[in-house]
Amino acid sequence: MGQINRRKIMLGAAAVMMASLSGFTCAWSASDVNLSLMIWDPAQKAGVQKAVDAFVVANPNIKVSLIQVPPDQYYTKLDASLGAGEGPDVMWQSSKASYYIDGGALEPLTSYIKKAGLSLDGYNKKIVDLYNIGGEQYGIPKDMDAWMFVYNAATFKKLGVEAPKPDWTWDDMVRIATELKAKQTANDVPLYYNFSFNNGVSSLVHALGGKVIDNNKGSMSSAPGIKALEMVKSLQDDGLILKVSDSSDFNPVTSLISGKLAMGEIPSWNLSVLSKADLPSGTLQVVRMPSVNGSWTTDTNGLVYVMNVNTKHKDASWELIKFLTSEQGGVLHAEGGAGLPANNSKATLGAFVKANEKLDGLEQALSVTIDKSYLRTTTQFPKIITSNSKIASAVMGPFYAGTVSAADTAKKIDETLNEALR
Amino acid sequence: MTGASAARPSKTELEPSRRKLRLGGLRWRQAWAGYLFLVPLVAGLIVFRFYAFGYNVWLSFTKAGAFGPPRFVGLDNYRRLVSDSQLVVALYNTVKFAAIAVPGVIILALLCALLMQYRFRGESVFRAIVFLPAVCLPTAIILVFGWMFQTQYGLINAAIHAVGASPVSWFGSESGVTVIVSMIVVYLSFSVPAIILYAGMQDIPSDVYEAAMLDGAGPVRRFFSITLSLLTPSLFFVILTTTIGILKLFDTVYLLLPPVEHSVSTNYGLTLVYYYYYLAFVDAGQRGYAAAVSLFLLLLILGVSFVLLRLQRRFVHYGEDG
Repeated sequence: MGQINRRKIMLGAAAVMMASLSGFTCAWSASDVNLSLMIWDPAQKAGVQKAVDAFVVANPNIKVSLIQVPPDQYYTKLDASLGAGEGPDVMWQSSKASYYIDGGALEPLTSYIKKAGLSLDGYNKKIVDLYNIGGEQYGIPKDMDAWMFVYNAATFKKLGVEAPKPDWTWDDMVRIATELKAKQTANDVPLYYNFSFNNGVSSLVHALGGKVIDNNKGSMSSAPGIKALEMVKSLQDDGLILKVSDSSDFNPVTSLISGKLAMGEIPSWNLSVLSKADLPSGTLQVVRMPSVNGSWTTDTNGLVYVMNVNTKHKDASWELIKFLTSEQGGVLHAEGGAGLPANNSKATLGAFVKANEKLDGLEQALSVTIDKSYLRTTTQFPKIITSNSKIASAVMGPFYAGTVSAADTAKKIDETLNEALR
Repeated sequence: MTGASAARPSKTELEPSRRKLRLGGLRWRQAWAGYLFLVPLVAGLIVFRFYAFGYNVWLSFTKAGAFGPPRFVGLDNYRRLVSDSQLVVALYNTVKFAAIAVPGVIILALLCALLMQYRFRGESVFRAIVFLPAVCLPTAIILVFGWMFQTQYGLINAAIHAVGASPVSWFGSESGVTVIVSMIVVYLSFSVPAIILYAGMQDIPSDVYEAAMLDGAGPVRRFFSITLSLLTPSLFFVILTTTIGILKLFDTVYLLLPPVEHSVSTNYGLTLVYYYYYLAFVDAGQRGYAAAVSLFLLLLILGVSFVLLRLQRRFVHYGEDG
């Protein structure tokens, strides 16, 4: 009797399982599509989720799982999953995209773009071109970078120092920083200028009319290259920025919020952190980079949405990419506050400015910055990513320590770049 | 000793049991069950050790990018090893940290093991303090040390400032990084060696000490002539494992000097494993070369182990049975 009962129970349970499974399969396969979207930046998750939610409302038969992977694990996880022929349907890509294109992991989007009649004129051209490889477009731009100056108006007011003006120059910056230094306490910092070769130094080279790499060779030994190195080092030697050797654990964003730092060069991806700080509106103000000989510039990089070549839902994935990079998607994303949209429409830029409205002067600074950007050296030449780390530590370290001259440093940078570019 | 040999079973007594243990003597089902129990371990070894090692060796002969199939390039990666100035920096730092931290660990562990021999008030607390680093999360310890030595807001610089001296740029100089990294490595590594050495001291017969005391040997003489001599097997084991552990140093330098591209301090703490990690996981298109770097580290560890094993014959005393 016991045997029969147990068998009946087992059969019944199996029947229920089969029924529920078949019911689930039917419901799932009938019309619904489940897409996965992988990103890395926690600051942008809210904005992306907002855009995804709107997409799901507009496309009720498509469900989207947004996965935010910690930045330092993103590519490791991506490599493992894509290498196994799986991975997310849609994902972010950076200048490393060329490796994934070579490996055949990304779906070319050119035919989808043509079929949808999508014009790429509405996006930042530099970012569009970056992901056009072998005549195929592999990604639709989602955001871009720009560097601006942010200053703490409360600190300036307290010290009685005239704040930077929207049309300020390098000499103005040095003069203001010198005044601040004279009035600040010894623990405070007047200025943060990005001293790295890849950002602060290189953008100064471009502003001075030079190039870091010319004809596929390092050209830091040119007059603008050496001049740029000397200009940044003199900021350190005059005590206007922290000694570079002491800067490895210095955070300019939190220091601006606390008032320890009076003004600093800040990338667009950190603006949302500043605007969310618990400070009265208008405390933090934004101006463009100071001009040198009437010119200023900022390096840029941009991310794109790309499609997994092995996705089973190519049309749905394309619809998601199209929506997220559209004006509507860009506005919703920008409302999250992080990620300067690469969609050039006034609405997306307006949404970004509005989301960061506590930062006075942001709209004006952005309007004169975006068009002045150049592709970051490591973005334009991914081959030099390794040598960039070597330059930062083994070449720039001794230069800022004062043991190597600017001319010799420029020569060493060129040698390192040429070795990588070969 | 005579008693011990008398207690040993004779060769003829052992024969039946040995026969039983032979495969042929067991029924197949019993043997099968035994092999089945071995499968998880062997499978784990094959997949995660042997296959991974073989794949890594193969990878070292290829140009393997961030993604996509590796391309065979022969000995190119090994030729690059010879001319890579960053590898020289990483090798120098690795050897430097090992040269400072290994003696530090041994001396501290020996001192703690000696103190644990004595009965005193608060000995339990002392033992807990000794073992604390072994049970604490290394990441937490490293980060706490990092905050303590932070240039702007750190506790150490605040104390230095309070006594009127100038703050020290701990992470901005090679000497500063060397001091902090060595200190953390010693602190994180001395607990288990201390326990091993303490256990080794328990095996030293008390009658040897009694005889030495009757001969008029003082505590210092007893330590150097008896404790240290009879402790050499444990000491050798501790030196070997600590050296290998420190040659593979990664977590401390990675957490103190994270791979941000504009840091001028990275080269002060760049070790071979950190360099490998940077090439394989931070950088793009360097996995083949990273594999060659990892095999270079393997050769270094094999070389150091070989030297230590040779020295063992001369300096390690295993007693009459050994």
